[in-house]
Amino acid sequence: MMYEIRSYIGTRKVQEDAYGGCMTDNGMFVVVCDGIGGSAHGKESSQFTAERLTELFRTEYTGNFPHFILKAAESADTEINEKYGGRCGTTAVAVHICSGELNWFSVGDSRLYIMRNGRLKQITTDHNYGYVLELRKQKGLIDEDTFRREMNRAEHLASYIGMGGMDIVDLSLKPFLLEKGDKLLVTTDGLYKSLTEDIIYDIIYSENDIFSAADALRNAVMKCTAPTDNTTFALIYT
Amino acid sequence: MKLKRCPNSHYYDGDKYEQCPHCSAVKAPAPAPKPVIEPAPQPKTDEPAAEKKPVTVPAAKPEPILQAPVKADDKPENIDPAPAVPVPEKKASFVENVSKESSPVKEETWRCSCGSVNSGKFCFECGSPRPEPKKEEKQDNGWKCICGAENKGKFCFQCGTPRPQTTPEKNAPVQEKPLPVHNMPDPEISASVNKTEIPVHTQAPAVKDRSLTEQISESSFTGNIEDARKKAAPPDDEGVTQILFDDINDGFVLAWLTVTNTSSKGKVFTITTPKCTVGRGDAEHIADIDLHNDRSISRGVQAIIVYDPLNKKFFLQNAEGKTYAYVNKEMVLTYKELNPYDIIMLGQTKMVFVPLCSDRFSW
Repeated sequence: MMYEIRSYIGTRKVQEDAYGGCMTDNGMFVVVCDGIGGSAHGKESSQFTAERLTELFRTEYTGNFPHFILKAAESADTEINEKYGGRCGTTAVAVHICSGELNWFSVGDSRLYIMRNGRLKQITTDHNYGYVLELRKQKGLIDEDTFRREMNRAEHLASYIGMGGMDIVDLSLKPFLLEKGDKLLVTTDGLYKSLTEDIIYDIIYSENDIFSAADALRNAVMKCTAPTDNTTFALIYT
Repeated sequence: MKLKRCPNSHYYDGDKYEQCPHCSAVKAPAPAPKPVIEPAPQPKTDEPAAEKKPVTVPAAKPEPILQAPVKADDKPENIDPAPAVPVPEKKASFVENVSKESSPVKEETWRCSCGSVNSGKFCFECGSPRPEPKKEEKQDNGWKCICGAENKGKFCFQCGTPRPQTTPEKNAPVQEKPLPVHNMPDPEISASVNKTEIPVHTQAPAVKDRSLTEQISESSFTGNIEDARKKAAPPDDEGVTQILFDDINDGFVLAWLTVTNTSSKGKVFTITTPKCTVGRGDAEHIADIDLHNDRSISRGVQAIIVYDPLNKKFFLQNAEGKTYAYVNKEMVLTYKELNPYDIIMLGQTKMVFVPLCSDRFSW
C-alpha cells in the first residue's frame, strides 16, 4: 500500500491547494484540500486544514473513522471561520485505509475516485450549487426554469470547511472493502477539470507504477493549453 | 469437463467429443475460442476458473456465450486487472482489435516476428501479442452454447438453446470494450442497452460494475452534516453497556486469577463474566470465584471483579462483605482499577491478576 502526491500550481498566481498524509499503526491517511477565497486566505485555510487533519489522525485517532474525521473537520471549520470570518475556506477529501478497509470523508468539490474493473468511478459527490439544485428539483422545490437559470452557478461550492457549520458532507459510514489491485485517486478540481476521466484512466492504466503514473498525470495537466486551476492529487495503490 | 488438446492445439471437452470438433468442423477451421485463451500468458490462473464457472453457476451463465465469439478481447474485462502484470491487457487487446480487421488467419498457431511459432495469445519467446484475428471467421461459423457445446447452426445441438445474436457488428463494440469501458457512465445503462439487444453479452462486466456501485452506495453517505454526525457517532451511553455486554458471550475468557499461596497455590480461576463475584461459597452463597479453602474469608461474596468493555478496564469492587479486600496491599473500600499482575488479597489468599482483554485485545 502506498501513495504518491503531486501538486501543480497551474496558471494561477497562488497555489491554494494543500495536502497531507501519513502512515501509522492505524493505517494510511491522506488528505487533499483546495483552498477557496482567493486573496482572502484560501491558501492558509487549506494548509491549516490539511495539517490539522493529518496531525489529529497521527496523534488522536483510535478508531471509528467517520466519527473522528467529522469531529476533526468540524474543529477545523470552526477555527478557520473564527480566524478569517467566513470569507475563505477549503474543500477537503480525506481517505483512510486500514487492513483493506477504505473510509473517506469529503466536503466541497474535491473528489475521490476508485479504479477497478477497467473503469474510474467517482465515489464522492461534489457539494456545489448544482448538487443542491438537483436535490431541490428532485423534491419539486423548484421548477425546470429556475433550475436551468440557476445552473450557470452550478460550480459554486455549497459546503466547505471554514463556512462555519458545514452543510453537506460525504462520509463512509461503513468501511468499503478494497480488492487487490484497486487504485484510488484523491484529487482537487484542477485535475478533473483539465483532464477527462477517460484520459485520467488511460494515463494511470498505461503506467506501470505509481510514481510514473503520478508524474504522467501531472505532466498531462501541465501540457494543457487552457488555463489550469491549482491541481493536487494523491494516487493510492493498494 | 475433460480438457483435451488436439494436434492442432485446439482445446476441447474430451467428455463430449471423441475427436477435436474444431478440426472435424466442415467449413472453416473455426479457431476455437479456448485455444486462444488458455495459453495466454498473463491471466492464465484466473481464466480457466472464470471460464468453467459459468457452465455450472447459473448466475454467471451469460458469460460463456459472450466469451465464445469475443473471448480473447473480452478477457481483460472479466478478470480483475492484474496489477502485477507489466503488460496492460488493454494494450494487448487493443493491438489485437486493430490487427484483427486487417488480416484474417485461419491457422491456430502463428509465427511471431521473432521467428518462434506460438499457439497462445502472446509469443512465448518475446512476449509480443499475437498479430492475428480470425474473429470474423469464427463468428460466422461457430458459436459456443452456455452448455459448453460448440455449434454451427441456429440452435445448440446439445441443449437446443437458440444461438445468441452475435453478429460481427454487435461484437465490435464489445471487442473494443477494454479501451472505452470507462466511457460507460453507469453499469445500469450498459446493462439496459444490452438487455434489449443481446442480453447475455455484457452482463458479466455489468454485474461486476454494479457491485462496485452498490458497494460504494452501501458505505457512502452524502447529505446534511447533522445526519452524518448522528450516524457516525458511537452509540451513546445508554445503549453502550447493553450492546457491549451482549457482545461478550458468557464463557469467553476475560482474565485470570492465579492463587499464589495457601493450599490452593497454583490454582487458576478464569474470569468469564463481566461481573465476576469473588468470595467463599456454601449452600446458601454462590461466588463465581469460590475460595472455599480459605476459612479466613467470610461466607458469601466479598468482592466483584468488573470488566468495563467500553474502556477495556478491570476493576475490583468491594461487595460489602465482612472480609477486607486488598489490591497491592491497598484496601479497597469502594473500587479500584486492576492492572496486569496486580495482587489481590482476600483473607489470606493472594492472587495475581492477569487480564486477557485490554487495549490490545478485546472480544
